[in-house]
Amino acid sequence: MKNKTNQSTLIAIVFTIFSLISTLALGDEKGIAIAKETDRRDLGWGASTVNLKMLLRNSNGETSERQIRISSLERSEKGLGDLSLTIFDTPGDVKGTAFLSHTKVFKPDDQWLYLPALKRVKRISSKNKSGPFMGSEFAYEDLLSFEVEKYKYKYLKDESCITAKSKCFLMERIPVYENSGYTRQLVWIDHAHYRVNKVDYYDRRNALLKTLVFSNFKKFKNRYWRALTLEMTNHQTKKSTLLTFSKYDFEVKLNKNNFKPNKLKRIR
Amino acid sequence: MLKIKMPDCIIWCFFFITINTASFAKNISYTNELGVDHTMFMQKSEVLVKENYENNLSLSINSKLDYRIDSYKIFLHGFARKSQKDAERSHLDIREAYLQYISEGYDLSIGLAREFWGVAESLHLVDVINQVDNLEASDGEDKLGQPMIRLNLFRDWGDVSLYLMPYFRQKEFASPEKRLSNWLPINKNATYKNSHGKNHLDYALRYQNYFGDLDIGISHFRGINREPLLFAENDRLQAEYFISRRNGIDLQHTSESWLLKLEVLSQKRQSKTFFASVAGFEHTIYGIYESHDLGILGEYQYDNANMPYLPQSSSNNDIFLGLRYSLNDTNSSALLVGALIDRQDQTAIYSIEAESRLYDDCKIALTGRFFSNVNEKNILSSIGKDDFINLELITFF
Repeated sequence: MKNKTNQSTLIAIVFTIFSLISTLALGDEKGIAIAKETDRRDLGWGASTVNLKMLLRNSNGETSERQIRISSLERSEKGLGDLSLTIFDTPGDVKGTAFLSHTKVFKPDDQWLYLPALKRVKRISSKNKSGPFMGSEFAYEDLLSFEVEKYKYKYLKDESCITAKSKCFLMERIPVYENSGYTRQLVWIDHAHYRVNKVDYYDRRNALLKTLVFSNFKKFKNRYWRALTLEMTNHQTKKSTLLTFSKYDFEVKLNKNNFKPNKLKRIR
Repeated sequence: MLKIKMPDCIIWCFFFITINTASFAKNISYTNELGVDHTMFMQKSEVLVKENYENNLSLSINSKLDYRIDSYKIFLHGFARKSQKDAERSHLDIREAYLQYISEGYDLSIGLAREFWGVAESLHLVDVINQVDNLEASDGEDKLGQPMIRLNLFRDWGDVSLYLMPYFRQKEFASPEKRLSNWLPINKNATYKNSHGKNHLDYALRYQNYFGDLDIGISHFRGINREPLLFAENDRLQAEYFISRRNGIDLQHTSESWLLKLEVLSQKRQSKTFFASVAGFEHTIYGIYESHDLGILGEYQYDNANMPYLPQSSSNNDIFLGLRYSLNDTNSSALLVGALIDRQDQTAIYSIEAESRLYDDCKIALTGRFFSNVNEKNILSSIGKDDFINLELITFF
């Protein structure tokens, strides 16, 4: 009898430890719940194509523009992120260059680059998560698809949103994937639709580095919200990058065969 | 390959105008690149007949058009160069002109096209489809369009490409009076060791796939060897083209910041087998200073060279070391310095390549090549004093 009590106490202790560990691993319950709900509401979008204009502004206000087209395909298998193909239309010297990414949640992504002048498809290293994308204020990791398991979460408080009309959850998330350039991020997510409204990025020294603001939200397929305007401001260099999305198409028919490295040679 | 003459100019102007007027139509995308470059040669050449010009100005243009209608694609790419001091390097070429049918599981092309095989940086060993444009005195990455019928198949178990090449384009050589050329002039009539001459039907096959971190390519080619054998005959060089059978493998392993590369080629000629390989790595240190990246490249080139029936090779026991520094700035500024050293005779080529965008549609590029310790028996001996620096401005419109 005594033994049995001991056993059940032991089980209870072990159980508590396990649940503590799992809570510690992903953060507090409310934080995780918000992250999961954000993720859940964006499941099932399928495939999309979109045009993107990037406007790079330096500290003197001088600007430089890039035109890009992106095709994406959602993958629902566990551990696999989305497939994406990015084609550059301007500036002239990179026209026709294409970047193919097979993203994964925990393992390094598989990435290929197509160099049209040489007709060469080149597998590249995907370690460089914190490096700038096309000389902009966006790092590669800022543009990757959101996966719940990539962060630990801590719900902080409710605050009014910067772009949406409703209240926002303010929470902290800490990247747990390798090679991130950030110690933590503060994220504002609106109550009404669980859309990310704003992110503050803190660098490796835990100083505020950048702020990203999402605006101009539009609903697609009656369900999926996309911000058509994203503005990233770097507080340390005073540079900024404005992304404007247009011609979103969620009806496009894409499958995984459209994202084969060898097919980069025939893209347009 | 054509020298620029008046009628050619008309043809090219017609090509250029066609590309640019067609661009107003829908489904068409086009690009023009106009380059102006200046080359400075830093030493006097030892080749007696060589005109020792120190400066050369040249102009180049590339026009590309991509037209899609339903499942069809038409691609045109014309190229022209006008060189101030070196009339022989003034030339026109149709780099590509093909019609392609595109389906999900395959595509079929007919016309002049270009192809790239392989993974290495210092030597493109398995790459064989196109003849190099030898009048473009660069790193051999400029290639002539190859007439072909090409079928690409995309399958779950990998991709297969089949090539039928009914016409061969021979290598052009600048005359010895010019910089970066051979000791002797070339005889214009090359000899062919096959009964159909240039019209020999070459074919090639390639399989390509990736397995996790490993990208793999296996290729086979049977046809006219792109590189001729050169014999000295009555103070001229005679080029002889022979049929070769080549099998190649290229592999790249990509993990974290390391790329490991290997290309192996075997070639049979007169019952002897020739082996060549290039193996190396590329390691990148990301964010070495702010957001700058430093890449370290090392490659070793080996072949059981000096085979009696094969063209002389300059890659029999050579080491390439390089550093690539990328600023990742708005102008995509990058610098590559490299050294290719022959371990047998210590002949070395040092190179520098730097580029940056001046504004959105204008780029500036600096290229330098310096030859050192060139052994008189080395294949590079005739250009040993042709060290140069080239500065180019390219606009895109």
